[in-house]
Amino acid sequence: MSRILGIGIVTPLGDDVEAVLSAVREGRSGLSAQPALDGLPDSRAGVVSGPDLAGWLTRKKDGRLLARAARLALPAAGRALRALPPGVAEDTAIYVAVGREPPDDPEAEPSLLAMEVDGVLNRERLGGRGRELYPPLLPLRTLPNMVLAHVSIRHGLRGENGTFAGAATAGVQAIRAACLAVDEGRAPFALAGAAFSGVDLASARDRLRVGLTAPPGEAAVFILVGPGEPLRWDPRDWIAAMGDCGPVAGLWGLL
Amino acid sequence: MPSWRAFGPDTRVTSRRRVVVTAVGMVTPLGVGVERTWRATLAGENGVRPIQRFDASDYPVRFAAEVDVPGSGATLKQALAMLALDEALASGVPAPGSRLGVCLGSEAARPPLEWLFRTTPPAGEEIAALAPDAPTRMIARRLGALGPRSTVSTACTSSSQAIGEAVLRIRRGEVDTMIAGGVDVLSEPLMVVGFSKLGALSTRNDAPEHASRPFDLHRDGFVLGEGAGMLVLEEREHAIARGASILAEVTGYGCSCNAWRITDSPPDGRGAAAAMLDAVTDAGLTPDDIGYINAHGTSTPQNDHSESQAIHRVFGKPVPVSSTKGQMGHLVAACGAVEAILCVLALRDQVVPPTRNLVTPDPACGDLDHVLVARPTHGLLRHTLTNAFGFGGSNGSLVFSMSDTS
Repeated sequence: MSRILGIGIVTPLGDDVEAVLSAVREGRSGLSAQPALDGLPDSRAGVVSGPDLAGWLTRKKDGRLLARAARLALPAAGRALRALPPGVAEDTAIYVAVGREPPDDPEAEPSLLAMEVDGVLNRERLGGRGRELYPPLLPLRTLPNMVLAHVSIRHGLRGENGTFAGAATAGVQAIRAACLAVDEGRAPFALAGAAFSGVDLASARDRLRVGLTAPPGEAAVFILVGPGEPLRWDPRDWIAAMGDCGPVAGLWGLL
Repeated sequence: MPSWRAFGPDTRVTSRRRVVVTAVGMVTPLGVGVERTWRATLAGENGVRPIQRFDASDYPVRFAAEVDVPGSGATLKQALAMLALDEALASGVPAPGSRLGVCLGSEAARPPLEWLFRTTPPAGEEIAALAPDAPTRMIARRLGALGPRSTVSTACTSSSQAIGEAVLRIRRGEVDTMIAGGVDVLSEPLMVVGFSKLGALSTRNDAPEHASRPFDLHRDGFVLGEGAGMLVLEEREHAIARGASILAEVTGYGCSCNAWRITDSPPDGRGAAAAMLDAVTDAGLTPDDIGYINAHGTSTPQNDHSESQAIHRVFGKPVPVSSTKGQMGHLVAACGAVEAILCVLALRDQVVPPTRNLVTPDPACGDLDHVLVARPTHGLLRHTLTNAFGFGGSNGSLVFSMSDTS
């Protein structure tokens, strides 16, 4: 059976597991008013300070390829992987859960707005002026499996893998897949986790429109599992402290 | 190289439940329906044409492999998923309940560009329809599937891995039946702009019918496609008990990460080789047993070279290989499912499909046994393998075998 060997987190309340656990038990909040969300019924959000990616990027220029969720995931995954014995990274499996990235990256806005003619959308303009303004790396930032890709590349993980999309259950599916990979002998170790950021204005608006009224949040949680005793965990209500962090929410109980 | 057998006692081959394919459905740029697509694929017909969905005259790439189904974006995606599902369920709908699950490969749909200039905000249902798991939710709801429900989003590998995940769930006994497959819609303005700015698309605007040319010396990129493929996967004894027609058995699944670069594959094909070898080993076979490979074969210079090196590395001798993306372009999140179905049909009809537009095989890809016209196998084809490799370095391979009940 599988057991947890390492945990890495990046949350609005910090990145130290014990400190975050204490903070939640004490009822401290990681939510704060966000000027970017002014105008919404509730402008609070659980926003991560930083994160500092020094030490987590293989090449500094790779930072241009990272969407917000991947920026949160790299240090969280890296900390969980510190428990990995030397020399086994190549065979390690990796399962990741993701939510929906911001529907329109702010960098794409000039390109999209260039399609307006007298207040009406002109699709054909996207082929001309709009195309010139379109960020060339945007597709690579917003593909759902980019969190998995960046983590696997940074840490040399070449085992089986998967990226699950969807709501809060996706994080649990990733954990389950990782544990089964170890239990069934397909990988010696498996990294699993979730990363999500929903604190931008467009995502916050979309959440309200689908009836999600909890303040938005962002976070990443990764665990490293290996052979051992059964994995047991008891989820708690962390949303009050962190905001709704989509697929990460199902993983708070791991802490 | 990772292997299923490397890390513990192998319980996968000897003690597991067997998984069979009992029904399939698909919509592709070659047509609506399995038989229409299969006939066109064997004949090497072309599904790549000038873009009809929007005026692309100012775009750098003005062609795609579009489906002949009205709609766009999330609405079209759902329509394609339901068309493929309806065909797969034409001969019988699985019993609802907790022994039925759904696992699809799917990506998020882009918000319609018109939303930018709408005065009224989109409704909640419109936003929810954009989520990657929207087709999965829709199918589960329609069928009353209360078992596992997953959506895999690993770009071009999505539906290959979705089928693999579904197979593992049946083997473990979590369910008896899984609806597995994938769906994607790519002929959209932002997709054309985004992928062309990456330099990934063919720019053969003067001859789109020759643009997708996997393994050809003069290939210059992939062609955006779209479609859906659905498979009904069942535990073998469950299928036999209900008298289902068995098309093939899913015997092997393997996947791996390249851990190389975001857009490139390692030139030696090591990640792809690991996935193929895992799938073959998982099937309890050796590479010599595989009689046909449906390659990922995107028609990009890098993928085809890397994949060919991987094939040489695993098989060591020429095995019949083709990429049906020559006919229908790259269906991205749906390609793994559609190409899996083609492998099932190859076993059923004992004929392997060709690669369209492969005129001058690239010598850098080595001595592959390219299938240039549909090739009958005279009852000798027992096992087929299909590959799907995605942006970001996720690789998935599946092995299908003749069922001993066929």
